[in-house]
Amino acid sequence: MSWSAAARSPSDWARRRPDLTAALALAAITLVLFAPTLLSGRTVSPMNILAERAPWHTVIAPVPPPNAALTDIAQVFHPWLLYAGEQIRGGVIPLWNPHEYTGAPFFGNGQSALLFPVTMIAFVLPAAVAVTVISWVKLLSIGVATYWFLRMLGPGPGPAFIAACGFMLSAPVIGWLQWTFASTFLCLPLLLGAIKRLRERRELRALVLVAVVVTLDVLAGYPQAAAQALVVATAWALVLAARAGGGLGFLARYAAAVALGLGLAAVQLVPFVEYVRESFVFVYRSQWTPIFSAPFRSATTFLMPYYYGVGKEAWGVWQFAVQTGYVGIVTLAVLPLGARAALRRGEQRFFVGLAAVGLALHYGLPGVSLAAEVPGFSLGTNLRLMPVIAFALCVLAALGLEALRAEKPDRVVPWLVGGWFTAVAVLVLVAIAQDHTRAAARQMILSLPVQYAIGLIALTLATIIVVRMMAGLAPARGLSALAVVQVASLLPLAATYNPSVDRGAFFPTTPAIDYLRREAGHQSRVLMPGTVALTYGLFEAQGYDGMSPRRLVEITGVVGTGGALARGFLQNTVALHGSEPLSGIRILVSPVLDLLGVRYVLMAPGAAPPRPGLALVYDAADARIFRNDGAVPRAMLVRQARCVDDPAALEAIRGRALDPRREVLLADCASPPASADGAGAGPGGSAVIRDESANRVSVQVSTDRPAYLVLSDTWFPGWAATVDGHPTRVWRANHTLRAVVVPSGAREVVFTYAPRSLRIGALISVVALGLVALAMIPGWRRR
Amino acid sequence: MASPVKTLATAAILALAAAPASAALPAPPFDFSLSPAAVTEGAPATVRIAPVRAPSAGAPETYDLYLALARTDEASFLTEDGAWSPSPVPYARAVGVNAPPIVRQWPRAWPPGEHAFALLVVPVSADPLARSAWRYRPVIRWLDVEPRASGDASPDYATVAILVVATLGAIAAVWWTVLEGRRGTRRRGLACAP
Repeated sequence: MSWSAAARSPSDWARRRPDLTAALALAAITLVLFAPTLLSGRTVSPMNILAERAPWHTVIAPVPPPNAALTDIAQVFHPWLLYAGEQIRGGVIPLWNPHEYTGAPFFGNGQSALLFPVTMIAFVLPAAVAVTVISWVKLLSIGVATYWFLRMLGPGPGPAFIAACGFMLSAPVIGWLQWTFASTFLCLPLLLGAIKRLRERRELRALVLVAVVVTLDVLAGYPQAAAQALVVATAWALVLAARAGGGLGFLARYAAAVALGLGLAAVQLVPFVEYVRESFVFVYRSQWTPIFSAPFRSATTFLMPYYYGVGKEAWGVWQFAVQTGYVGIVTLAVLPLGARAALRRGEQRFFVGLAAVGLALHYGLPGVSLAAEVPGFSLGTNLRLMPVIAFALCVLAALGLEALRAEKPDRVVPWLVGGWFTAVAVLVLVAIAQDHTRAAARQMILSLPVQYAIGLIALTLATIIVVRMMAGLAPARGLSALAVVQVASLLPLAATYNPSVDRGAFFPTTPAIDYLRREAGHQSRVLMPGTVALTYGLFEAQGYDGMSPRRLVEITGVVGTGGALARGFLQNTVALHGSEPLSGIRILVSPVLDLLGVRYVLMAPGAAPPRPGLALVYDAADARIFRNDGAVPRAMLVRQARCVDDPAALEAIRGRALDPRREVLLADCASPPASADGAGAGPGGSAVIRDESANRVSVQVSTDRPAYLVLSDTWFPGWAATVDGHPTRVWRANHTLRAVVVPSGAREVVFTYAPRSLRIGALISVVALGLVALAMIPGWRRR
Repeated sequence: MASPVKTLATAAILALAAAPASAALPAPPFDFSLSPAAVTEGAPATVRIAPVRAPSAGAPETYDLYLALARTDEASFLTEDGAWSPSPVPYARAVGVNAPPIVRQWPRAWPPGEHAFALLVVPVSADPLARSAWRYRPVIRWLDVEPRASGDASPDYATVAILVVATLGAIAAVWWTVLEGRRGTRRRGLACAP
């Protein structure tokens, strides 16, 4: 091979395979972000948040400074991945999480996303590695899926690549990356692309593709975004149907595909619906959901992602991922070109409409915000539309760049680009002039004037390249320059927003945690900061899954972060969406600390007892632990029962008129089961949890008389029980707990969680899978 | 657009528009406003609460009206005399649905910040924080209380001037490129002319 041929070959290779090259470039960008972390023994996780709390302050350094906006990751999503991985590797599909909320559905909670392919990485790799790989795979998938859709829509490789970078590294994607919410961003381009293919090809395979993507969307683990994506997809299908010829048939095929997709996802969807009906979040949101909007000034974040700061220096009304719309400088620069190009081409107008509606809802345009109250939307929280807006803007950017590449610009276009640049620069300058002296803004490391200067230089550069392309700069050179500007403008945020920590700091144990493991074990509950007890195999009554079992909340008091209670104030229920955590402090100040079996309370070193009657049993540098001797054990025998309706049960429990060691309140009965009632008071027996996994609890009981075995775990549809292998009824006891009647003698009581909703869902999914298999058989496809 | 598709699309839009909001609570029989939309900390604002519609059949004729902050973690209620209370205090007690509008001065708006206010309309003596007692959804209105002296610096005119100059420079660079491009295009057009 000659020198010149060798030198030419890489570019020739890339020119012949533009799509593969683009995909590899996207992969290379994501590798730049994640490879150093993976190779250096670190993990992308905001564990530094725990550094501010006992007992982890002794083993985790608060470096970089914790970003409270990532708390959900440290307290919910990463603990879940760890728990799911451990359970699956142990041969158990964790349908139930007994460690939080005194027990709650896990598989069906809507966000654990156990069937989403990306989650399965946590089933194979150690959790501290898996969380990084999952973020990497999600990010790359979002980029490649966006590129695939854009290419299908029409733009060439260069414009599609630049726009795909814009979405992949946008502030909404990076900000939400470690939530399951981000998994749904992958489904949006896939869904729209699959629907377009279905419109173009009357093939069963195209129908199946839509169905599979709908399934992925549902399984991704963020029901609200899945529903929003389906609304967007249906609007897109209606727009595509408007093309001449075969519109109704296409819509029928689309409807069939969606039905098939929902059917495939039924195994997760039906248990989720069951949990929704039993959840506290549904109680609140079906009643009223506060609808808020972002201040229009936060549109400055399209030029300056750090306008409102990050972490401890954040000063905006909403958290970073909610209010920041940054999609890259090139995306912003070519937006008017994209809008103009889209408005001239039938179906592509859809993306102008999508961006406009999304922005109107986000910024609360009068009247339009009422749309947030329509069925479905009002069950979610608004202000979750920024990813959809970012996607629409990136599609418009691709269309604008394509017009720049392939079309001869008319006279208006340069004026449009120049005018847009001027408007953006002046409007943001006005905002800066007003905000740069704010006390909060002045405390940011990167001051607003400096941020503006950086943004202005980048936007000027991008705009000049665009204008030069209109004036004759070779499209390939222009697009290459724009690609560099785009990636350079996006990488700093993508590389710094999600912190990494040493893998050893991923849910490390401390002497205090070891003490709790030893003393509490399975027999009693603990109360410690956050909701991470499940990562240590401990059991707690607080919890956070965005749903919350409603009967538990009815006896403890409403959900909430606990911040108000900690400061001695009343929780403001007006501000609640119902999806907030059930905090530890709520449990602590509730009248049911004893009833729920919370025996150990972990506090900061030197802390005073949080309530009277607690004994100090552990005092060291990492924490103080107090023992609550009034707490009932998780499993205990009770001799007396009373049948009461829910209001009476709540009144007795919240009014502390129930002695849970002596009596149990049963629901849904007229009189207590004869076999145990009236057996008299007094212990006369024992109950010990012998064996436990996610979906099963085995209790060894010994009693000289018939008794009620009360397990202070959440009652929920789907729990069944046997006594020595014979099925027995699981009573709803003390409003939210479980009880069974136990005859005298030594008995083994086994509680098993196998909800009918799962069986129904699985049956529907199997039928749907059969239909898909049929559709893929060549003979059927031809029909 | 093919007409059946148009019909279907229209039907879908109408169905969506006609569907009742899934938030079950109806709008209250009172509305309220805060004026002006932005005030300086310590300056007065006007609160106006007025009946707007008859309550549904069987609903009480009188209500306690609460003005609460809608986005704070801690409960905060505006009292009749313009102070804040951490426990529920009605802004107006036992107000009839046919009562004249309530117009009151909030003498000193405080604290600074962009506040979402909620008007809670609950039966007389009901706990406004117990959402199970609500018959109506809250009405949300915003008020921006600008800080008067909160540690904000006075405008940094030198920095602003530099930014203005930089902005003008950037705008000039872009427009120079635009105009230069047009001239170049015209020259190329002339060169190619027959």
